[in-house]
Amino acid sequence: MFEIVLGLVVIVGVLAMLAGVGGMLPGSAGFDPLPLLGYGGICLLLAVGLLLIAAGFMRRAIARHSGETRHDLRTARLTYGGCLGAAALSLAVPLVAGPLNVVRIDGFPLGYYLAAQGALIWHVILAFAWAGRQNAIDAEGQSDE
Amino acid sequence: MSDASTLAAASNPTQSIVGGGLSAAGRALPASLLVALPGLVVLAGFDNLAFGLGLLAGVVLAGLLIAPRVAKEGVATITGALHRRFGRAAAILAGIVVVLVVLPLLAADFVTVATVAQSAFGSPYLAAVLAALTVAAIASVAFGERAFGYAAAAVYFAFAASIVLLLVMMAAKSAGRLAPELAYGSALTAVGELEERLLENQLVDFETFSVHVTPFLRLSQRDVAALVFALALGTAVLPQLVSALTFGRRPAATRLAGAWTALFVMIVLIAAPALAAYAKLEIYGAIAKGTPLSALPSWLEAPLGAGLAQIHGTSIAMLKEVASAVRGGAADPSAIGDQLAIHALAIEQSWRTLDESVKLAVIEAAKSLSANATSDEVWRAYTGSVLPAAASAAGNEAGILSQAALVLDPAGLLLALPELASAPSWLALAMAVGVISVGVVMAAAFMRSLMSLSGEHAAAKTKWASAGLALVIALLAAGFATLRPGELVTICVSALSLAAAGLFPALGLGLAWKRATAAGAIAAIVVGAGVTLYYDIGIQVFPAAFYKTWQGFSDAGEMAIEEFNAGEEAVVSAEDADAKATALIALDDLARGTPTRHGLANWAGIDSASGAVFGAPVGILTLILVSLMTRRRQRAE
Repeated sequence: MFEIVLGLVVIVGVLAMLAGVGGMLPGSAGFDPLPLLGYGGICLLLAVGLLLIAAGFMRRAIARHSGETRHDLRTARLTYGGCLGAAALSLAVPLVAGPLNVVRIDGFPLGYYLAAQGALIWHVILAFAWAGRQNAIDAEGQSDE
Repeated sequence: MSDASTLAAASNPTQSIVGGGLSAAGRALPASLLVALPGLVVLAGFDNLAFGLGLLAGVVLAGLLIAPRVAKEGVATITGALHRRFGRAAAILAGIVVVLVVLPLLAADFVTVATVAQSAFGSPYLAAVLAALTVAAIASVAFGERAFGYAAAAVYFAFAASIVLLLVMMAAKSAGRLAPELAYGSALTAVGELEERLLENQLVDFETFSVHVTPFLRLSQRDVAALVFALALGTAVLPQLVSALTFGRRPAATRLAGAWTALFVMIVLIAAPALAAYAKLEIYGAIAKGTPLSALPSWLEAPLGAGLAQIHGTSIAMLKEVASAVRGGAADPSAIGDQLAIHALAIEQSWRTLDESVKLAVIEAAKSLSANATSDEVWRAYTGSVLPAAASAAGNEAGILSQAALVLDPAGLLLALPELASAPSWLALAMAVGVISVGVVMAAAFMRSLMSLSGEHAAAKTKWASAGLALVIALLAAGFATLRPGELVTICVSALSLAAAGLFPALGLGLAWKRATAAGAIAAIVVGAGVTLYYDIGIQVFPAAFYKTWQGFSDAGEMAIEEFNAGEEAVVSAEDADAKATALIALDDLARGTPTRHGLANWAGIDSASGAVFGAPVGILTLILVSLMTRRRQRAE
């Protein structure tokens, strides 16, 4: 339930930004975040909101079912999560690297470091976590049977 | 007993998952891409980090998404899984896509092996291709799965060790640090300073130069995303990788082996940008201090000799090939060009674009070389006669090495690395052996995947037919490799793109989704592969017509469109057939683009090789729609 409410809040916030509510506020509170985020950022926020709602509904569905259906739903949730994680690491990281390059750590521009090494290490961590979690789900499913 | 339970019973529970991961890592990535990775990062800096990201994401998806599903079907091949789930027609169509994917990858593999063998051991190129074909064919037939797995693991370990050792040596030489992968930030800072000096001294060509760490200078954001997408989905369904992960394992062990494979592949992938940073430091250092062309650094000898580097469009490999053509009786530039077209396509293309005065200088230098000329004599002829003429024709009056003059092929950097690192000769030889071994193992793995197209439980006659098919495909690939094509990276990306669009929808979604039907899978394979092939071939073969058909989808700017319209008028107003043919070629070149200039023929600016970004989503959509439609019809019946 928590994810659904949070997701709805995010979507309402995005719609408010698109409607220019921030810019209409009087005085110093009048701040329009649209130019700062850009339409790419807005789409990303919208996707986060939708994902949160989907995660909420998935959690409710898993809680209501048992046996093979529960196993399938948990597998599906993990698969979507794993694919989203891989997509975020391989697609989103290079796309946001430009602004991150402003930060330098030990000579490494942060955006470059993440695309050259950081995201690759996280891919491997994701792979082990995904494998371990799915194997645990399968083992639980077998013990339920 | 079902086949699934037979396979599970045959599984060896003590079979090492870690060793299996290492073995699969040796068969995960096409060798020609693996060896090109550091060079790619040197060429385009940040933008080509997309290769590492896409390939590793693909390995993760292969191990966690595709291979466990294939193992769950109780088979070890992707066509076997599709056969079991969707029937014979889907398996045959997937088999055709596998053949179309493996053929170019195998050819690129043979080119890489033969080029490295020629460069490191002086083997004749043709003999090296034939040797690679023979060894790969024997290895694919003679070894059992377990023995082949051990060989792949050993070869990958040796290759990775030589790369890491080379990296440590380069870091020690350049920065005096022994933890190079964690500490090459200082090299990046130094590269940035050198880039500023090159810019100040006007030693760069803005068409090919990019600041190393700054994103999206050579590729657009969309191109980077499309490249990552195509590489990831294409690698995920590579038949030899999926089979290596799946064979004899239950899904749980397959997943863990997949994760270990990702770890071992990552070790090489994160070494590539580090090697690139240290190499760029050396290369830009040589350029920044105004090295004269007459005193070229020795690290350029190997890539120039292999035709994997060019200075002002010339190379030592070109000089040798021209010398061979001259000895064969070819006297004028045109006849030499025709000879080169028979067995050295990439050199022939460079030869055609050279200035006439440079061609004559190359021919004169070639005439001075005897058939038994030593490498020193060839080097002297090249630096003493060819380079001054090439520099003069290019307007490089000072005769110094510049970023604009030097074009390094991605694979060429690997040949230069041992000299750049001041590595001992044994390490250079070890690295060459490592590259050749990885290439041969990959070629054998590709051939084994072709042999297993008929499935593990096929009749003996069908298995013999598959073995025959594998041999014919390998012969075709070797035949293409003897032409010595260039652009191996583009060839590999195109092949992976086709795999992504043709196979991923049916394997990634079709095997997991219970409502998927055979008709849906068949339609997804046909439509996904069809769209991607159309996009790639359309742009490469008939670019002007492609642009005219899809003008509304192109990202071409106003100036480019005006130039294209002028080109069309030139075609219409051409006075004779020759003029018309020349104008048509110019129009096609304009629409197709070049490595440094974006063409007009595209959808939303996406490179032709990354067509999977359209093909795969269309394939997935087709799978869903056709499955829902046919399922309803089946229910109604």
